[in-house]
Amino acid sequence: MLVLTRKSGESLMIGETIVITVIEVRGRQVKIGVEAPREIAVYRKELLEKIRQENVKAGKIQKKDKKITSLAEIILKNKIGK
Amino acid sequence: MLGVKRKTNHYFLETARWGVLEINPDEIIRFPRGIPGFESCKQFAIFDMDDIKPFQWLICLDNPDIGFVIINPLLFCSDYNPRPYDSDLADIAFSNSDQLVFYTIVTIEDDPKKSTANLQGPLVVNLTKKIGKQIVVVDERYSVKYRILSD
Repeated sequence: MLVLTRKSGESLMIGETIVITVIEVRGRQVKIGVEAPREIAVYRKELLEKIRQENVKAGKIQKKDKKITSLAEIILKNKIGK
Repeated sequence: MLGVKRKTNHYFLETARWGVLEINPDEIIRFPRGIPGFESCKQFAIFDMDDIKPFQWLICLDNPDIGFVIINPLLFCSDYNPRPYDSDLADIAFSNSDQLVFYTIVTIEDDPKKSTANLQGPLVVNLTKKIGKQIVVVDERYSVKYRILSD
């Protein structure tokens, strides 16, 4: 991993279009600004991990699980929740 | 011959979990990178089964022990409007005339009424080219565990 030391207010470039700026450093927290073109996805890494964990949990469902059919019935009856 | 629907390219896949599945090769959706947690699952097919309607099964054809309950998010979140990044659209080879559709993976909870759908990680599928991807949606209205039924 490339490791660079930056002070508050300083930036670094990734390629020619992405600018990462250290906006503020306070204790253990760093506020970071990201300027990137729309085609680049920017999000906290934990979010991807959350999605992965949710996929794993969702994938444990069994075909014969009655909970699916009972929920499906409720939804059809309600013509949906929200 | 008129009136005779030939299905010569269909084949049957015997699975432990789902029994025998009839597969139409034209309906197979490729997920070139799999989905997070299931990176080796590259080919899926969607199955309608009456007993779980309006849900559907998304079954992995590479490993048919793996399957997910999915639902059209517009059925319970009528204003759902996630914006895929251009890089996501490139990954599914989207061009303007292609038809896009969103599905969400459902997590069935012990109390089924508390089941959730993952609105932050929807599956976006290019129906025209049959390529899909689970994308990350950065929009605070949507969460990974969005309750399907309101209280």
